[in-house]
Amino acid sequence: MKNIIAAFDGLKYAESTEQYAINIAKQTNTHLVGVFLDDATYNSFKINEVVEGDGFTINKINKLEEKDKATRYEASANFTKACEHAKLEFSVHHDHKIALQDLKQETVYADLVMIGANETLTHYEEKAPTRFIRDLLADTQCPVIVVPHKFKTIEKIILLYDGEPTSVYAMKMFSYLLPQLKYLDTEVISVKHLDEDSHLHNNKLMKEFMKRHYPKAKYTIMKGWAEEEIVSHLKLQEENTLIILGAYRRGAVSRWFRESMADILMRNLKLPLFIAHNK
Amino acid sequence: MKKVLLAFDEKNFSEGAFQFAQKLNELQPILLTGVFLPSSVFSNMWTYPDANAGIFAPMIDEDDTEMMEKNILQFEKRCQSNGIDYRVHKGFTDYALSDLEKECIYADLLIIGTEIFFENLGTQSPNSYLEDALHNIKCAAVLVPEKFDFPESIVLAYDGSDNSVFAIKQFAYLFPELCNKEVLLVYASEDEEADFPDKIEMEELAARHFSNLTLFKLEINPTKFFSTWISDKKSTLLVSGSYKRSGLSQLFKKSFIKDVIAQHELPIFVTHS
Repeated sequence: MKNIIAAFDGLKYAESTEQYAINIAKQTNTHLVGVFLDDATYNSFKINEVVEGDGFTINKINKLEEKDKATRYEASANFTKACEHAKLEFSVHHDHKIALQDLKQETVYADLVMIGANETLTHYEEKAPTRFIRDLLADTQCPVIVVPHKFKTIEKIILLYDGEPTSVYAMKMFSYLLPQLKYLDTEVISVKHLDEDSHLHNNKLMKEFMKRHYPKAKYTIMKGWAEEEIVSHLKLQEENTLIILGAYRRGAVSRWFRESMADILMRNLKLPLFIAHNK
Repeated sequence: MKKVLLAFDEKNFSEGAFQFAQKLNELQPILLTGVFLPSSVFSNMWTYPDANAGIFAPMIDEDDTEMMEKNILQFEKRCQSNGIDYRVHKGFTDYALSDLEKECIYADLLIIGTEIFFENLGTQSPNSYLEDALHNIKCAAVLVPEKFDFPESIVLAYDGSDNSVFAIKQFAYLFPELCNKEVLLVYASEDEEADFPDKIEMEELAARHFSNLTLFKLEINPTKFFSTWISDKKSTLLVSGSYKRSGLSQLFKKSFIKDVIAQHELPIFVTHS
């Protein structure tokens, strides 16, 4: 049985995360953990909202905080109701310390984390990839599924392969964690430089591995720049496609110079991404 | 279905490693890939960043090639008679270690017979060749002595580090068939008074994967006495996150797993993130 986390901001409950998590948990033998990041330093009101007359009033702050508490309670109640309705085995964690630290600690003891691509855990809206998601991906101890705003049942999977150990690691992890999903329509995408041949990297070893784990996979090999070719190919996909890739193995400095494929995909596409890396 | 690598040097056929693979195949069919590494690669060893290795650099001679052919034949025969799906990978020419690393990227598990893996290359156990292989490989490995009982129980070594939890998770993914055996989650730390770190979270995770689980705090210094404690356990497999630290760090803080490997009594599952 797997221990899968669905991570939420209790003040901005992401329904699509709930739907994806329940959908996947139902198909697999899973204990779903709703992790509510009720960060004590983060609340829904702005500082100017608590100013009344001459200064702050405790009354007003208390009232707004009560309201936040109620919103957070409602969010976890929603999650509980949805899990009960789906007849899942589940539990709920409320983490009150700094959200990012708490979630990182949870990932050590989890098999998989699911989170919305737009989570910021602040007042502000940010375009994907948000700072919170990027920080999480850099330090997570288990694979992460980043889900888009709108839920679609997953009906196809695409594996990105660039010959690096991390991309194969992501495929292994997906195969171990969600074996029920790997029998969906499967495509492997690899991009080679114009002056390279059009075989997969380490063709023989790769095929030997894939035959055991994804026997029905189809292979697409493109020529050109990986960043451009992959994005334009994936833009043609329907929204029911899950992309599996190894990313965020490199450090932050290296990512300044060459952006991670995961960031590019989050910015340009609205598809769920399964991201794993080995350090 | 899993793809399992079995690494042999050209001189020795590890009976223990093969038996372990055979048992795995009985639990669930595997693809067994025999990787035969020539020791001729050590002729180039003077560039190798370990002063030890140069002394043992063997010459390439025909006896070795013959021996390898014999081992390959034996491997094929044994696979056929046991109904194991197999492949043979050989003919590595230059730098065998990096070839083995590459093979490991595309495999789920590597099995090594630790007692006789390149035993001609050093007297200390585990020898430097094995240590280097363990440090660099990108998949989980089982280190098997020549004589052992196939595990009826599992010991999970937990020291509160992310790495040890990672190893426990990987073990559960790779061996779902063994997860219903008797499992002992052991916490050991040099600080004897330290409490079980993150006990609730760890129990929550482990209980999902292992149905027959016991948590146990070992009140001894693991670096000194862990190998003595574990040697009392028979028919056990030890799961440990090890060999992550760099050579320098290993120099200062000895990996406690080394002593257990040197005793040659238990199969050990090692991996690192």
